Amino acid sequence: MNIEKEPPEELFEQIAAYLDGDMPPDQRAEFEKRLETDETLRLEMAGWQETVRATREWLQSEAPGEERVETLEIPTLIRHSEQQRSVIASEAWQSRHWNASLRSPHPGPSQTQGPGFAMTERGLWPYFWRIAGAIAIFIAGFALGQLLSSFESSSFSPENRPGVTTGVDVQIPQETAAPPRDDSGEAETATVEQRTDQNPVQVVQAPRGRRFVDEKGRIVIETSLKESGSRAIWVVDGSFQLERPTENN
Amino acid sequence: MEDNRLAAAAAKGDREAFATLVLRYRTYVYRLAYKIALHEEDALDITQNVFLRLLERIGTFDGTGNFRAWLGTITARLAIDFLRSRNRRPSTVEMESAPVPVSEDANPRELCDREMRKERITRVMAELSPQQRAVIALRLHEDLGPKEIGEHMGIPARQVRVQLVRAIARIREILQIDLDDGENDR
Repeated sequence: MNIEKEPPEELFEQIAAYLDGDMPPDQRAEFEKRLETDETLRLEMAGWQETVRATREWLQSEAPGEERVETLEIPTLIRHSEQQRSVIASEAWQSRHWNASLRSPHPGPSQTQGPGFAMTERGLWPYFWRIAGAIAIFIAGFALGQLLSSFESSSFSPENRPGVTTGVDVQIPQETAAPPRDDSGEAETATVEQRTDQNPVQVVQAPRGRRFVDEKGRIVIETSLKESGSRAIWVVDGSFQLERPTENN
Repeated sequence: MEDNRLAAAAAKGDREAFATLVLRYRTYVYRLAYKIALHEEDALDITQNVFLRLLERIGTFDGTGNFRAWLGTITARLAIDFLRSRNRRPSTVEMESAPVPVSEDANPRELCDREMRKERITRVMAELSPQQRAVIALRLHEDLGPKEIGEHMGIPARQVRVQLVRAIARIREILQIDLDDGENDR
């Protein structure tokens, strides 16, 4: 080892300045005069030159992975607005794959308009994926909303949660049959069969479109079915009095 | 076609001229980037950044200077910026695995010594900052003077000289130590 013989930094600076031609003429002449007589200085300068040569050789030597530069692609020249420029340049800056025209660049007439900045031929792809992502998020949000809505109407509805009231009385209107008309004026009668436990078949003569109380105190109501258009006779046993609903009810 | 004419054509929007420059200099840029970054992936990223920057700035090339040196300064500056933004220095130095060119009359011992010396220089370089490596690269690879390097790198010429001297002194120290050890082994 030769650390003790290491010359000071000032000497290296002198050698470097001399070799680089950065030394003033008077100092240069003095340095050359010293070189003629000083064997140590000559050796130091030779060592310096050898180090520079070795370093230069190292810098120029092949670097590992050089073949990978062939995978890089050439950015293309397309003029766009400043706004596009900032977006596209920043995207291309982060991407190692600029476009697909590395080995066979084919400039089109619209693409040879001047340099300005970088544009990639794959520049639209990021926008496609952004739009696709936005659509996917929208669909996911819509589906989630639907799911929550159905879940709320089933599990979270007040009627399915004991002890929870909304404070609003909801009255569901029920379709009620119109009160039987008392059309006593019609004379036409119909023959119907009445089935009871004691008398399975009993023929009842009932005026059409009427309701009345027969001699046994039974209510007989004639109705017509909307769907089929057929008629039906209702016979209600028991002592009933027909009574019109009052306004208060 | 010479570089300056290609650069002028590229500045006017000639894509083929620009592509020719990229194909011509991509290995050079990568090699320089690697010597500063000492990392393959980083060097590849830097290389791509350099050509993107070149595309943006090629119109600013005056056409009279040395295009390669101009590209070298862009590479060095972007390499420093890249490594600074990543805040990384090579924690582990990738040992060069490039194939060794072997000639028929090459002395095996000489080849071995050369490879060992390269390896040692790589290790010394890893001790330096990216800026110091860039200074060495521009000085010894592109033969740019300290003043020119300082202008491109944004540092005083005096600082360039100091960094250069210290770096070479350190390399020399390591090589000298190894040389002495080698002589003692014989």
